[in-house]
Amino acid sequence: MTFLINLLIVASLVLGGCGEKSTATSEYQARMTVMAIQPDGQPANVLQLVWRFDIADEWHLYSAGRNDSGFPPTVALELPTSWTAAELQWPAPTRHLSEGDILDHVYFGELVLLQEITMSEDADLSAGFEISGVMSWLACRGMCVPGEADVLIRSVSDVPADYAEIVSQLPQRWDETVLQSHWDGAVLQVVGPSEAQLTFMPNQDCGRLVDLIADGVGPELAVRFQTIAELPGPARGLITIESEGVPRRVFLLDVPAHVLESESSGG
Amino acid sequence: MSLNLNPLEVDLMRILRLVSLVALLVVMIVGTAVAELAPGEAAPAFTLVDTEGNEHSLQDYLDDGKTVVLEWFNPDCPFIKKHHKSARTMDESFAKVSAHEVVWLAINSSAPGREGAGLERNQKAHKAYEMTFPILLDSDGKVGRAYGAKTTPHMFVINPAGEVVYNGAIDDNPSPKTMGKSNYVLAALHGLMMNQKIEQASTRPYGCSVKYSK
Repeated sequence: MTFLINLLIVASLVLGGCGEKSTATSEYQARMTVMAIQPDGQPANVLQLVWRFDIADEWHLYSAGRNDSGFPPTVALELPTSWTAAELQWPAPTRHLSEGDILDHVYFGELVLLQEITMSEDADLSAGFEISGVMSWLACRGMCVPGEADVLIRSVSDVPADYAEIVSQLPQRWDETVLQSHWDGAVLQVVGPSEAQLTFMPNQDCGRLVDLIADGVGPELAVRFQTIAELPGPARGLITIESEGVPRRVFLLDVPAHVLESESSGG
Repeated sequence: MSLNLNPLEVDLMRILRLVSLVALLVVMIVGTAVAELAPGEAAPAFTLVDTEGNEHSLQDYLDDGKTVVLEWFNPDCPFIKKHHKSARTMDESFAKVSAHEVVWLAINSSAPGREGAGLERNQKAHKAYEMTFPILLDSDGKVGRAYGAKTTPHMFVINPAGEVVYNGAIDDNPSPKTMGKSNYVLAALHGLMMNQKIEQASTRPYGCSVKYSK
């Protein structure tokens, strides 16, 4: 009898009774777990989902930014009535250039995403709730394997020990004391700290670029934009700063499209 | 039989030889770079052999007045499997247009030893996917690089005048599993047939990266 009770308890845990649900792929390229937490300092009607991907050696997942190939982790959630889900929050990826000048921005090792869920005003977590859905992704390493995991969250978990570090990995707002940018015609010039390496990783809605492979990394950046209807830009994405002995810093870049000044005709 | 040429003809021949040599050098240099073909640009010429040993020349098809669809292909890519196995997007699309002077060619630019490469693998895929158009092998990646093919699939539509009129994705859903709603290639072909402007002549292709040689 005790054995049967224990078996039922284990089964309920596997089915999501503890607030986490993970499904491993049959051959391990990436494994996903998700938990709902309520960190200190957030409004009482906000849950934070912590999506954690454990990526097998040499495999990578894709960022949600501008890539030449691949498919980023994408989630479809079913929420209780009047609850809403914000966009996934992504840490900075790594630039990955393959043969044929194929440029992607990817993650190796581990990827942790955050996602805010705003509950309805009358939500009572103690009465029970259910968040369900499916997370899909593509893991690649010379070959690509799609992955998928069912999501089932029914309770709130303890805040993980590395939560502060996870938050610190998210891009910060632009800081003019660290980075400066200005337009020079259709070129966005970006200057950072001395002896630092800058990398630009555009979002999907960034303006069309001339050559991200050549322009996207260096001690200073001169990112050339195509002029469409005389409007290069907008410049949207991430700028990472890497200096020896200093943790990588990541800033959000959001510069509106730039109206080019036309040359005045001679008199 | 010997040619009797006057001095002017001899000079012209020397000039032509020099121009040809320079052109060849340019092609050799440019051939290793990866192009970004915009709609309206000339489609790079190529001649490739398919998995049955038949030769296919783009120029021959254009000379016959054909519209040519190119599909970059890797039999082991999940996006290709989506369109050839889970659904038959490509073959069904071709079936809709094949009576209208359209040729559809799959091109595999995977380098030897890389995913999806090799004659045998592609012969098996052609049969397993019940493909109604050939797979051409571009194992050194020259044609892929000339077209700027980045993903499998990556689609190009070439009009009978030899111009690229569409460059991009097959449809509007970049997921490896879910089908799209709008077929950009069929829309481009319809526009061509009706002599109408192609509304979306360029989209962002999606798929696995083309497995070029190092």
